Amino acid sequence: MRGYRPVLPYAMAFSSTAIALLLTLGLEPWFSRSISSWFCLAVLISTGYGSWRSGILAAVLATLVINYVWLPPRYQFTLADPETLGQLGLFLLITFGSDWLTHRTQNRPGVEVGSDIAECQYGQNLLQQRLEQQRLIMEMSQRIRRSLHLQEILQTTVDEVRHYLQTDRVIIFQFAPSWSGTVAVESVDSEWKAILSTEINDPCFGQQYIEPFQQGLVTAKADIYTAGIGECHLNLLSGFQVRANLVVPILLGESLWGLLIAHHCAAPRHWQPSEIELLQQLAAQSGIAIQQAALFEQLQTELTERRQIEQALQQLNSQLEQRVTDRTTELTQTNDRLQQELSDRARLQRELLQREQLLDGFFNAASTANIGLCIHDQHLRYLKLNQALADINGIPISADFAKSSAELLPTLAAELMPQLQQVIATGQPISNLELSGTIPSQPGIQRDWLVSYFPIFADINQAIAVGTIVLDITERKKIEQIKSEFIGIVSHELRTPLAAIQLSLGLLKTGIYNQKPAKFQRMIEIALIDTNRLVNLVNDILDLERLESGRAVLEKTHCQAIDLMQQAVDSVQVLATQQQITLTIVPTHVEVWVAADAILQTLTNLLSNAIKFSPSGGTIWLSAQPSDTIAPPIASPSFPTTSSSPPSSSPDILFAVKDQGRGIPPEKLETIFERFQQVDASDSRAKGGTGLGLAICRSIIEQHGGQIWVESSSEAGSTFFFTLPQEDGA
Amino acid sequence: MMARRILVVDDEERLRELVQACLEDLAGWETRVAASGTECLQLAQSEGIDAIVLDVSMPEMNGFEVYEQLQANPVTQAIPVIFLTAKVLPTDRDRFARLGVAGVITKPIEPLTLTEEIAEVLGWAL
Repeated sequence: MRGYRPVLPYAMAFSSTAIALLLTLGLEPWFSRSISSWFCLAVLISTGYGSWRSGILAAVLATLVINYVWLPPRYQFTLADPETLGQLGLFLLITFGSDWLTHRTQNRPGVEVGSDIAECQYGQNLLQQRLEQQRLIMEMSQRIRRSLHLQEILQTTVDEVRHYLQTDRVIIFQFAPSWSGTVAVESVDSEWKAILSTEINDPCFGQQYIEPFQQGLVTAKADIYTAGIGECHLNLLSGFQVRANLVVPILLGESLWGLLIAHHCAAPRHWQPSEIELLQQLAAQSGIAIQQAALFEQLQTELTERRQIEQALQQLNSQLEQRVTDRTTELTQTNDRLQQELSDRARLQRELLQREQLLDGFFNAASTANIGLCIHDQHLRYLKLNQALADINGIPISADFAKSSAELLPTLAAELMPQLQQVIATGQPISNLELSGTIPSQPGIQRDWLVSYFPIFADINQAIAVGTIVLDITERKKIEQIKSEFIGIVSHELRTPLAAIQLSLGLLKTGIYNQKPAKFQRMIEIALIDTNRLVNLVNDILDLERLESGRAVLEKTHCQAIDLMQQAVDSVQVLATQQQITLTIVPTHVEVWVAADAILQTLTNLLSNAIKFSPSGGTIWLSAQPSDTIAPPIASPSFPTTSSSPPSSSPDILFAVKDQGRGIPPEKLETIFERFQQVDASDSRAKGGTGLGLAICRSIIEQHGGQIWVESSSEAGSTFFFTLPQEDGA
Repeated sequence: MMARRILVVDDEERLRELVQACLEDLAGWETRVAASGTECLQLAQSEGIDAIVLDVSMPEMNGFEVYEQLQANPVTQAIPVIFLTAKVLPTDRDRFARLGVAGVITKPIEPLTLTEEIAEVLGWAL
């Protein structure tokens, strides 16, 4: 190819002129005024393709063709013609102008062109090489930039460069801050030594070596042994089997990043300007790619960092959320617990209040039943007590708190305190203890109480308080005593005649009086007397029982009072005569509405009593008259039966039995109508009474709706009064 | 040996008579009688009484009061007293126990039982 290459520009001059001629001739009808245009183009192409030499040839050829074909006289040469010379001048001007412009663009400052390539060869190849170069750069750049991964970019770069340069080794050397460095990537033919990752820290590479590279210096050594480089440098390169090298700086902006180096190892090599230029452009592309990769890496790092930060933030956030959730849950639970505690406490308070109310209610209820209740603390002071106990103690309830029984009831302290202390100490209750004594507010009145103490425990072993139940049994005791006395009297009244009967009959049975008729007779007599006494007593008891139970039916009729009084007098006349007592009836015509037998029994009883207690030779008066004709009985404490006299539609009949006896003591006037309450107990023996007569009288009168009472004085004797209805009150 | 002399005190005339009959005719003891506490106190001092059979329920001065006065008097203090009572109340029993009387006999009672009980209480032979 090298044989025909120098001729090609001249052939181009001929062919382009010929084409211009054909075009001008062919297009003449349309472009007759611009004959020289196509020839100008032919001159320009010939100059551009070849050099100014082929341009001149084209200019001369174009001038001759135009002179021969178009300048008059046509198809003849008129060389001295000024138009022809002008034409030639124009074409030459185009030739040299375009050639100058071409050279101006090709010859850059700082590029050391160490070869002497033939100009014609250069002219022929220049455009093609440039086009090829640009294509290669474009392709390589695309491949380089296909990745953003630095190592990959660099590796691609060295691979591409070695392939393009058809050389033995291409490396990229990366500087460290101290201007030492490492072989970062390498593309090496398998015949030659691999120097990848070799660290180069040669003292011969100093600042003075580096600086020119920072300025953009490119070094191309065709043969290191003739290039006149330093020995240490030479040693280094020979160590790498280098024979020729081409070194281009990789700049990132103003700063030197590293070097793109091509090594030719097999033989010396002249590096073509286009190769140098290619390497320069690739170094520039690499710089950009490195920057981009660095940026990308930085971006990646930042992104990673950001992602990490985001993750960390997210984690923190989720941790925070979790903590918030946990805390919220905890707070909710705490809140629930608090709510629960509050509601429990409220419930407890309610229950406590209810219990307190219940206890108060219990204490008050006990009060209404007159049961005294109290609680003493360990020091035996009142903690709580009810009104009933305050009443029993005779001390206002407000004064009792926090004081001990000993302070409040000094007269009872000797009995109360040891028992309370015992209950506290032993934890054992004391039940139904009867106490007697007086209280400070009523020192003169003997009272009886039934007291129970029981311990109140806080735990199993220790009593912390003493509960006390107190009943005032003074009245009950009194009634019991009365009842007991009554039983005693009845017992006595029944046993005494029985004793006499048993003894008299018992003595007879022994036979000791069989030979003593007087004694025998006396025993029989005694037995009979006491049998009668017992019969009377039993009859009276049964009568009274029938009357008081309401089982006795009183058959009432209209009776003349005088008749009733006369019958009564008749029945006791024998007795009165024996005692030499006069019985006088005050005449009357009044009528009464009564059960005659019962009133007769009443009058007979009263008359019998009057006879018993009247002195011999005395008089007893009987009277009956409407009650409004005489003064009503004096209502005094001595006559309790008169105080509740009911008003009646018609006046009652007042009966009176007046004697001249010994009278009745005032304290007995009240009780004389009670059973077995004779003025003198011996009277029943002496006078033959049962002690029930007046009780029977009172019961009969009350059954008729009347009253009975007595007035008495030791001088004037006694008068028994009773009232009876005149008519049927029903 | 001097005859035993018992003072019978009762306000009930017939009972007094009957007890006297038992003590004299059945047991063979010598008796004095009193219808009241006052009479009893007089006779106990003056009649050389060896024992007293005393009723409880009596007007004016009952058996307990009589007993207390007998105890209060050095002359009559040592005379054993047997109560004869128709009362059977628990309170009376307690009272008898407290007073430390020689014996208590409850009415009604058979004549032979009466004399036997008195003899036993006093440690006398029938």
